[in-house]
Amino acid sequence: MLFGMVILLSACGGARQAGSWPSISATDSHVYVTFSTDVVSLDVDNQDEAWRFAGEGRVEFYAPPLVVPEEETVYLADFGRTGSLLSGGGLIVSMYALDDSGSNPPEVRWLKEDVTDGRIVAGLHLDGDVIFTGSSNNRIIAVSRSTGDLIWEATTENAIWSAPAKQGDIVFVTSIDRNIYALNAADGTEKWTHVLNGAGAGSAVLSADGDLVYAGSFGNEIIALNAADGSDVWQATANDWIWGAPVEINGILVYGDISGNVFAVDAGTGENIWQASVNESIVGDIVVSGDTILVASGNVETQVGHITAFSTDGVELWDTQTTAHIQTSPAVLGNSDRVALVYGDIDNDIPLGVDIVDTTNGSIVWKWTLADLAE
Amino acid sequence: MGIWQEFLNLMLNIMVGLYQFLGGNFIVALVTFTVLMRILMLPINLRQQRSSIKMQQMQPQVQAIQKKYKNDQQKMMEEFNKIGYNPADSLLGCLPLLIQMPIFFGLYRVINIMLQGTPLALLDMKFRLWEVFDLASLLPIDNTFLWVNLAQPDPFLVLPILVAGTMFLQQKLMMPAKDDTKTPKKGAEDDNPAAQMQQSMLYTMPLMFGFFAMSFGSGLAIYFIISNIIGIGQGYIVRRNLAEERALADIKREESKRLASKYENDDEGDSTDPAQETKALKASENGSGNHQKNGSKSQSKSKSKKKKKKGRK
Repeated sequence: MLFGMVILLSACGGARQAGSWPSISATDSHVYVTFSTDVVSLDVDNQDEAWRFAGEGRVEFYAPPLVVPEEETVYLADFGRTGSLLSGGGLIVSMYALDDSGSNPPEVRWLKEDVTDGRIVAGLHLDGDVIFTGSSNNRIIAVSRSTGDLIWEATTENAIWSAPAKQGDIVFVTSIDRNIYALNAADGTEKWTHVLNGAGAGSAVLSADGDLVYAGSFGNEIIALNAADGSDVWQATANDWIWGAPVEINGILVYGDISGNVFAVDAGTGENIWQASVNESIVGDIVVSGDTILVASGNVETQVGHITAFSTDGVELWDTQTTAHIQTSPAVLGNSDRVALVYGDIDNDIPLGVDIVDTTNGSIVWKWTLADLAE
Repeated sequence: MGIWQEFLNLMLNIMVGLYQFLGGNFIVALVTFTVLMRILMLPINLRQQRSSIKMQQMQPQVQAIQKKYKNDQQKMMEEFNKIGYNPADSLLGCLPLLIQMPIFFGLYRVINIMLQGTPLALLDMKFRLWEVFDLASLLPIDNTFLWVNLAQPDPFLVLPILVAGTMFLQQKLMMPAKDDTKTPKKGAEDDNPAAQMQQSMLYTMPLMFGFFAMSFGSGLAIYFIISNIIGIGQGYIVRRNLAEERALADIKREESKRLASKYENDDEGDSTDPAQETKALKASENGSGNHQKNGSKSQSKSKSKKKKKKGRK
């Protein structure tokens, strides 16, 4: 019986219990994906795998990689692994800086173990010599870009799943605790907080002029706040949870909800301009390529995914079915008229894969899949 | 959707319902859920604990019978029947554990879904919940209790130690008390596979569950602790009841011996002298090491004398 329990607990809750979802980042020519225990770099121009990396102790990755092409470095934060019995168990969460100059697997420039005491799901934001991120254990942290050493940490009331945004000397972070925090970038002290209508899972976004900060929430609402003091400017509604971050383009703010509705409002006033639908759940960020608005969606049950393009006046330009359902944000490849979408679902035995789509007409120009599903 | 997924959804909705109904406190919801489950399982658990202890108490007799009638299966079964031992009962002892397995694994998944604190788990929960629940209004689910984040292992190892400690006590109470086993010989345990198994589980189970608690979310560790504490209470009650039953059986046995010796004295001298009665009782008590033998001898003796008396009449 004991043996059976060990097997069952391992199966039900071992390596797979964390169950990460895939994330993607891109440069002009490469895409970088994280899924389960793998981090993979793909050379899109040559349609080839550039390198593959696995963290310490088969650790999983949730957060998208932060790529800095100028210094050929990829920064990663992992989901944490349980320490050995001898080391007293506990969770070890690490951050990495990988050399992206061409070696396979990439050389580790630095590895900082125990960087925080909570799993990292949130994306990383780089500014100067500081990387900002948040953890599931209610922390916003700032670490050194060159060493991974902790510079400061601030405490929230619940988990941080969204990548921080920075404007001037303020870092903005939404939290599952229904707040948006504005912190001093230098030391993490609080400038102001504002209560959201629900939990905040998508990143805060700064307006083009930097005066406003936008944040969606599970309270079916998006708000615009004065970035300097957190005072209310406007609110706009959605039909369901707003999960991903909105995007501002040509004076309109576009956001989606998990019922598949797309809304465009005036970025300055919140007044509704147009509304559309993409049928499947929108969980990732809305992105733009040139003047084209790109919305990725997916349905876990049917495993159907789409990417839909809209013009800034709300006209659907094209709609393409992806290989599988898309649950995370797409990544635009610089100025190359290409967008990368990543999929992968361990529960439904869908291996990690990437579709590269031409943003001018919606055609899929390259499909890549990881042959062996990461256990 | 498979039966397992349906079962999981049911458990998740019950837990979310308790969480909402009990003021948004996950620990209170978890304790309530665990207690409800243990109450539901109480009759079957009590029976299993009782049966387990009794089986172990019988082991010396069972082994003696097995040794004596190893070549006569039928006679062995007859002897087992006489002492009230049914080998199939040892398999039935696993039934409550088997029934609890889906609840255990279901709760493990539910805790992970509710507290794991990942976007994927939340998305999963949103699509599993019945429409009566407004998940957005329940978020964030409070995942803290004292010093621990319920979705993560206890960094100070207090909960894993408590899991191992309570599990040890629970296992200990599943074993018969030392004077219950009627195994006077030192090392007799070595010949008793049930006792050996119990002895090894006494140490391996706490260690294993302690390690689970170190590796998985503290919410699960708290479930183990609550469940173990209830198990300890159950074990204590079962042991006490069994001890009372044994005491009652001893009293009855003494009483029958007393009556037997009384009849014996009656036959020999037709005396009803209380002093003689007490003397006879003491004499029978002094030979307590051979209670059953003496008792049966004196009973048969008295029966034969009665027959003779009847014949004379």
